[in-house]
Amino acid sequence: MLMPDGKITAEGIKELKKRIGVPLRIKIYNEEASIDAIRHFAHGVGDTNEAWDNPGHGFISSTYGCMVAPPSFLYSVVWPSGILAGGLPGVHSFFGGNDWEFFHVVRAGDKISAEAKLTDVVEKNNSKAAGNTVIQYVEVIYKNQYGDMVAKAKGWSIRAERSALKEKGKYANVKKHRFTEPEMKAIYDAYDKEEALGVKIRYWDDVKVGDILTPVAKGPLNLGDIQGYASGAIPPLAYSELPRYLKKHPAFGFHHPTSNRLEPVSRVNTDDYVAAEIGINAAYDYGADRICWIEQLLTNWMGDDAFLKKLYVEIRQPDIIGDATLCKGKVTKKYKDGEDHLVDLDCWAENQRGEITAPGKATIRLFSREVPGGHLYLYEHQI
Amino acid sequence: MVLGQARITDEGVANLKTRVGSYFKGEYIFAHNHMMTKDGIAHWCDGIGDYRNPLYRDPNYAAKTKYGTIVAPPCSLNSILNVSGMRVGGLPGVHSFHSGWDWLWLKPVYLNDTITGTYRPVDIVEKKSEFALRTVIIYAEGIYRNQRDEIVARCIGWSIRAERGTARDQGKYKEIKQYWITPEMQAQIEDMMEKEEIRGANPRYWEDVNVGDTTQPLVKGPLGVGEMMAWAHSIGGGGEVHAFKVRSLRKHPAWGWKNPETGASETIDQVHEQEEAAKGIAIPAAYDVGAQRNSWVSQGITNWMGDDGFLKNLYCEYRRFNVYGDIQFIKAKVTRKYEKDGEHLVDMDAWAENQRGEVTAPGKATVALPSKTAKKGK
Repeated sequence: MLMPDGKITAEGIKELKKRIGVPLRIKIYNEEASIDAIRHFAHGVGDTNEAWDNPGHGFISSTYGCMVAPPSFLYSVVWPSGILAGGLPGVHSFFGGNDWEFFHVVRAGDKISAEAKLTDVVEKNNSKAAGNTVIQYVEVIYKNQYGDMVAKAKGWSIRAERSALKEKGKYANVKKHRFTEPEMKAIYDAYDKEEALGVKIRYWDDVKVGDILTPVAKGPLNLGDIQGYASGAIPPLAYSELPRYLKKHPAFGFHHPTSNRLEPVSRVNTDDYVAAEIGINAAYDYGADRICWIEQLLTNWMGDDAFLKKLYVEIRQPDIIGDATLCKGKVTKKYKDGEDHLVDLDCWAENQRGEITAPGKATIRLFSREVPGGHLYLYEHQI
Repeated sequence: MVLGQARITDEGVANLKTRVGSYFKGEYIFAHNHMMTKDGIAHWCDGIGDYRNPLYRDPNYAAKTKYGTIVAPPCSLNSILNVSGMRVGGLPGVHSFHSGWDWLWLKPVYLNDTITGTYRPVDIVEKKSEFALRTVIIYAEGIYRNQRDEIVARCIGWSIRAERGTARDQGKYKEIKQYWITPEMQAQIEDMMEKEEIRGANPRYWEDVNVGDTTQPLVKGPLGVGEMMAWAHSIGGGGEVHAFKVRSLRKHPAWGWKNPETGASETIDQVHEQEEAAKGIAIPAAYDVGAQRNSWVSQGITNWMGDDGFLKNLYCEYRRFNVYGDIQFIKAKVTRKYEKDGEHLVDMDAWAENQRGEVTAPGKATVALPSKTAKKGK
């Protein structure tokens, strides 16, 4: 095999379990939600909402009185993925999903710090897709410069042996899609229909169960899209840092077949021949970017002044180069919790094969006409 | 032919010439960074592989230097405004190769300085070349100002516009083969990376420098998609994804090419990532960005000159392509030592050289060094 083929052993699992509860060493990509960093991140996600682009927009329109970061911006502080805990060298890691709870907005200029810990390690043997697997769960807490917890994220990753993945070949029949002109036109039409509510207010009173959100289109995914997301959110591993890192973590590297240069296993996200090593026919996205796309769907719909309280998304299958994605959503419940006027939604990412690649659920707090001066609510509760 | 091709016409060139001299505005001078934040500077450094210089990263260290704070490395102004001829536009479907920079730095850029750039094309010259026969060279000027309206730097950048089809037919680079990195070469590279010397707080006094002194070579590569992904952190890779890409390609259709595998439209800048795209312009593999290599050359000098040195001028031409698998050795040599206007200066030759021994980017620099005789703070 091209990439290291580590095995899941009882000893490896024991080692990993020792890390439960211990603060993990993590690399912070953005320490500050600067105006530039917010824009870089949104541009990487392909989120065209002016709120993340134009500082003046937030100053004039929103109840926050300044530019704020999209909730997904925290991915650029640190990606709450199970693999933060490491362990099981040479065993592949698939990002499995996130369960977010948000408490405060991140304002432009806020300094954000994060703490992460491994919370659980679960074995799952004889899975159809990957043989023996291990799921590792982490929890990441994000705080601002005042020490307030702005969000808490649970994240998990699925560890599977590379040879087993290739042998089981769950995705062996999924080939790169070639788009016809009419198919491309349909995607472009979806792009054209996208709209961010922005300064307008979506009142809770006007929302009905069953309301459909305007879909957000992404793709057809190419290397530029993957590079774009990484450039706003994921620390690069290149130049002299790469051999230095691989000396410490040899199971994270391999040699390029035609130049013999050292490469990290994260090349599964950029190079088809590497993804093929684990039975996937093309390079695939990070998974985190897809959750950010779903967040764009929600922030587009809810407008500048509503607040995303909760978001749960599972990354069920890879989004490969050439795949087009539509992020969709639907209101499933409308209710009050104390003073909060809430809606629950189903939200998901769906590809051109009609497969749901990332199912999710969200809870959003909206303004209500029942509360006069709804804007003041935010100040009173210091969100 | 994967990439669109168009000819250089008299009319196209005449149209281009009408743009000379006028300042460009709006989207044409799109800035990746507006403010040189701590993260922004660190991301710039990550993108060129300048990992260890604490002057650019460590606030506690930088507080003790003469600047009293983190400063931005000289070429990082490229993240505010990239000065190449490409922004001038014109000649749709004719490829643009950024070919060189001539920088003049006047003042340091401090942490959290807000920098704005002005941009205008200054000259357009036609030239015959071996690579693509008829070519046009576009020269542009960028001026950088800080929030105090002080000019901190000026950059002249130029690009060669060449017909893609003609370049392919000429096939000047078709003989280039991807380099196979031997274990010995890998060991040498890693050794050089480990020994990278950053002069830092130890002043390199002008009196101690002699003509003929060389800098410790810096190694960059072997080039791969990782380095190009990293470069996107320096100058922004996000602006043209998903909806942004669709908008951009609608406005500038000649900026797109159709990926033969997926049928989807992509941007031409994928020549730096995808072999398929690079082949469309007669380069056998994906290749680096000139600005990136120039920034490596400047790192070779900033590593050498230390915190008290100031890079005043750097001129660098990109002569050959740096393709995936190639390794660049960044070198410099002192050619002249002199005093001028109270400053203690050295001139240097500075260049990037690949594993085939070819100089891919020759350059010249002028550095002001601290002097033992000058008053402190000079």
